[in-house]
Amino acid sequence: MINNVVVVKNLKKYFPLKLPWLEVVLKKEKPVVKAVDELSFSIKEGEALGLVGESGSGKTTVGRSIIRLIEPTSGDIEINNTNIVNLKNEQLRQARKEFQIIFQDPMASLNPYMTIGKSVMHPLEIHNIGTPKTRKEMVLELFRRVNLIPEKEFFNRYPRQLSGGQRQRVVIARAIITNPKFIVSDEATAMLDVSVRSQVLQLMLEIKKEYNLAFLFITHDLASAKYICERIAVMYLGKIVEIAATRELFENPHHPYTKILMSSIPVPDPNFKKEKIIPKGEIPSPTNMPTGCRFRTRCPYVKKECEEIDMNLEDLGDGHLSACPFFK
Amino acid sequence: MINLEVKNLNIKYRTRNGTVHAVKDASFFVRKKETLGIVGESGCGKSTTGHAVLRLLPPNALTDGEVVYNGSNILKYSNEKMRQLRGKDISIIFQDPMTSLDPIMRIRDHFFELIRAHNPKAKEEEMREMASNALESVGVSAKRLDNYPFEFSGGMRQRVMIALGITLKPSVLIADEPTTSLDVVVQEQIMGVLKDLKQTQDMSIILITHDLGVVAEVADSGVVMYAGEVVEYADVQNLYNNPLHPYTQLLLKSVPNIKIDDMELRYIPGSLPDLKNIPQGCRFKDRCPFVKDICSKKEPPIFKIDEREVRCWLYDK
Repeated sequence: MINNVVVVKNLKKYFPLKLPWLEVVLKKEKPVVKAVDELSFSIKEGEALGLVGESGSGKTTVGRSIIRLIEPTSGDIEINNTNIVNLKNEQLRQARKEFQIIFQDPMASLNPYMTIGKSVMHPLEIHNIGTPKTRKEMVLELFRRVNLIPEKEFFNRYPRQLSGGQRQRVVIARAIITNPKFIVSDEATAMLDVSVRSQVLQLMLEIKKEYNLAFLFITHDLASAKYICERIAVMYLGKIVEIAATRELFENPHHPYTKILMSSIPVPDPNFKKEKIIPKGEIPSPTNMPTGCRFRTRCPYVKKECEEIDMNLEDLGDGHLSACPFFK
Repeated sequence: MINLEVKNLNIKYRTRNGTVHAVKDASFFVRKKETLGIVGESGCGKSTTGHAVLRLLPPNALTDGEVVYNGSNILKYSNEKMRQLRGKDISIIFQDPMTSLDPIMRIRDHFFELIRAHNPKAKEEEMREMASNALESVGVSAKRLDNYPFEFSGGMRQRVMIALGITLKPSVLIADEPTTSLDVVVQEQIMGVLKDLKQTQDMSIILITHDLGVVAEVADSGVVMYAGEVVEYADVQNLYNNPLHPYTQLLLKSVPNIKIDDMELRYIPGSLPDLKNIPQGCRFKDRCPFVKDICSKKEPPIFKIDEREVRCWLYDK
């Protein structure tokens, strides 16, 4: 049996809104932005779950709160059978060895004054893995693995001397050097050019297999997610609206939002006639969320009943869940 | 009818570490009611080319060649004549709608400033009328003229930018990565706006983007740039169905697609050459699977095949 590495239950992240002081005095209940609302999912060993949605859907907030870079409001997060929600400072610091994150902008995630060799060695020092001598060896070996060759030369280079793709390779190397069980990748390929993007995707795919990693692959690009992920969850305004195995999601998308997302990916073929479903308007402000189904203000198939439904995920069979009870 | 033509455009940047030849010998044209896409990866010179047409480059840029509009070379225009041309005959919209609008000016004042720059005596009702028409044509209600930029979402701001770009009914609109900072769903809406405009406003669009999918959907012809050079120039049908240059072929294959049965990740090995230090011969030779002896000796010229152009020794007859 394959174990679940990550189990997230009823994760909530509410951000309090700033109010003028008079309203703070008068109002009893503080208004909040429900960035992530009652999210549950799990990721198995060696499995990648894609988290796809537009900006403002809360996907980055999910990625950051499940590794406690920001504190979740409530919910349970089990990584490697440890509930990390209640861990205190030192315990949490030690647990971080098991989970790492790759951010979108590699230039911003590398210290410009540190050689990349030192940057990648840093996690080993923090977690006290190996001796100073073996540490350097480990870094060099990993550099060879992520194709930063000649590795001895790269060890002494600074981030500014590298191209975007190479920098992202460094960040990937740093994320896996502590041998983690779980990696969050937050739009890691969004800033890269087309000819390089696939190289980095390929590297992530290989690393995932070799280290048998659980992966949370956050992206706005369904097409990139297809190559990496076994399953994909589609998010809209803090809720998962659909989750299914990748092939199933592409062949039988159920939720109207998923269909819209699919139809709006530009296809590099002038003769490709696709069925265009264009929604009304843009993602509403999360401070003023629609009642009932959160997507109903833009949904082309909206009905009256949509004002009253809860967005509960219903099972359509084989682990394909969707939050739209009407659409067939 | 050819509306704007760029001939042998060369742009060099003088920097402390030497001269960078950012655009080399670029030539293309755009007809009325047509959209020309300029595609390439970052650093290939596509934005530099677009900005050079309107002479918006920084002072350390040396521009050489011709930009022919209305029968004359606008690179030779005086600054004042150029100022009159910008916005009225040729206008530009930029990638980031957040930084393109002044945060402390109402939307209407952006329009008024633009209109007054070309007609200082314009009356307020007249200007309101023009601004309302422009806004409505991109799908924004004229009621929002009195709002500030922060009251708009990213997609709506980009619509406002497009409206500003077309207020004075220019005959060429340069769109520099107009949808790059937007979500796919909003991108689809903005592309719809651009397609409509081309028809209703009798205008040419030069669309600069890194997204081959966007060009396939909107453009009539396409220029592919690599490391400062135009490597292929053709109509969109030929460019996508029968790409000639190895770079175009590989680039098209490496775009992540949504066909579920195609799970192979393809990419172009290697990386872009350093523009300060261009190797001899073809600029793509280190990454090209069809490389021949001549490729490292001589830089390929443009070869014309039917109506198409390609810069590659494979097509030397």
